[in-house]
Amino acid sequence: MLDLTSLWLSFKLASITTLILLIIGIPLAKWLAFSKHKTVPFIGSIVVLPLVLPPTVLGFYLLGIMRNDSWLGSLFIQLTDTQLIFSFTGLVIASVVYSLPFVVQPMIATFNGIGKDTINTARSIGASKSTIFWKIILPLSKKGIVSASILGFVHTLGEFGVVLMVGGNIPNQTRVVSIEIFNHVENLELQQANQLSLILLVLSFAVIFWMNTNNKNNLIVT
Amino acid sequence: MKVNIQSSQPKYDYRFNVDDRGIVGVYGISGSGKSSLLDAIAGYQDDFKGIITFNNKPLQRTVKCSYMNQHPILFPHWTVAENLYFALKYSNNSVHLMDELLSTLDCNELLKQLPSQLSGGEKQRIAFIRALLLIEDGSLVLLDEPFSALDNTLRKTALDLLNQYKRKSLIFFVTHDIAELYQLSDNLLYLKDGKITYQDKTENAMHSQYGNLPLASKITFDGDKHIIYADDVSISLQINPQSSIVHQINSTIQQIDAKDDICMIKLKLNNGNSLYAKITKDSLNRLNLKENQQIVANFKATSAK
Repeated sequence: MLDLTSLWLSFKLASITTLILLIIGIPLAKWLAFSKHKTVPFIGSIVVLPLVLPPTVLGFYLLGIMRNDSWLGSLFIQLTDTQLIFSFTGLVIASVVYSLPFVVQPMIATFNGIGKDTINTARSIGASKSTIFWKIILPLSKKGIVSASILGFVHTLGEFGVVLMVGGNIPNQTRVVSIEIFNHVENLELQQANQLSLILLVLSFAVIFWMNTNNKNNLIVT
Repeated sequence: MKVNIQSSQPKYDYRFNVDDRGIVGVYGISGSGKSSLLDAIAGYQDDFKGIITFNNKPLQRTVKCSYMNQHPILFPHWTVAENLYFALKYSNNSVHLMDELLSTLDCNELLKQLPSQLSGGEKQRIAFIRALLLIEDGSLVLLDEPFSALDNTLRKTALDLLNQYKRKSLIFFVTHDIAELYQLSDNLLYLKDGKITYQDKTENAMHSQYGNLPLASKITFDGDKHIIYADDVSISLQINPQSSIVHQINSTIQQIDAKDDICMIKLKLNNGNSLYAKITKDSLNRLNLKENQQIVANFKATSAK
């Protein structure tokens, strides 16, 4: 019988990460898309960094930030009496950083796609910035935001390197499905590895295929 | 309104004064900077430096105005009705006015449609209604070729409507249709290479022959004011009852201005109106026309705009 604990853990991680990414990703993408502040290119580059960095490099730095004697790590121990490193919470933080560009980039593209003319028109009518955002930008970006969330979710499901660096391999806590597959392969349990891999493959394909059929103008091909 | 604004890249330099009420016609060839002028006044362009004073106050960067783009922008996720109600929220005007405008411009059937279901002309009518709904006393109205997709009947209705608003707002009106400009505007701005190269009252501009402004006259007949191009007016020595031309008007030659092979002739019609005619030098000589001579001015009814 196939043990689905790791798969369930991955889903939990991906769901929480996606939710957090939505909460911070929308305002961040809005700022990056519309602000003319001089720090936009700098912050934009930091956001994109996880896209190009090897996951191990990212994991290594996250490990430095979250280890017990770091500022964040020791604060977490004081507050919760548990360590941040090799914990599910630590994994969530790492996943948020790792998947941030996959959520923010499509959102920026969607916001930019609305066009200055539409926003200017609303402005000239007399609508406030917040009205323009809530009543015009957000409803018009619905599809893009859904795509971004799904991309963030699927990407978190598949992460390996970062998880291994900051989460380790603790059953029920940090042993997500990608790690579990690796363990199976290492122990030459190829049948189990195959089953879990297939579930992930079919699921990921189904989600991307659904997205692409529902959003023909904005195919996800990269 | 006092405008003195410049941008360096691309290079624009707009300086002019106009009254705070009335219609300002904006004319120039494509790429002369007409749309950029409207964008700059509306505060859509960031790279402009300078100041615009309107109603004796400096204009804010994000000014509330009735702006109608060349390709009208309606919010795509809302029906026509929702688009109009959204504008109405920011205006003192009533739903009653909206209903009235919808009927006048024959748009009642469109209320439940989404913008994507509308034709270009329908979009222009809805955007025009929205622009009118936003007009209050002292408003700024910026219209960029607003009626390019309307048929003649609707265009006339729209122009008549616009005319009613010129006493309470300042309306900038960009169009390539010179007759529309002559007919409607009080002042005319002529743009070339991002600069205002000519500005005058429209009644003077139509006689100025500046740039490619055609020589024309505004005359009243059948109770309406019409624009008649000098190109469409011919001269005969007497009334010809056998001619298909309806408008054969006894006139006096006031002035003859001969340039090269073409002569501009200013006529004083017997009803007091002035009318310009353009004829060749050959015709001038053949008919032996002189100043103060009594002649007959002819123009076809179809040439009246």
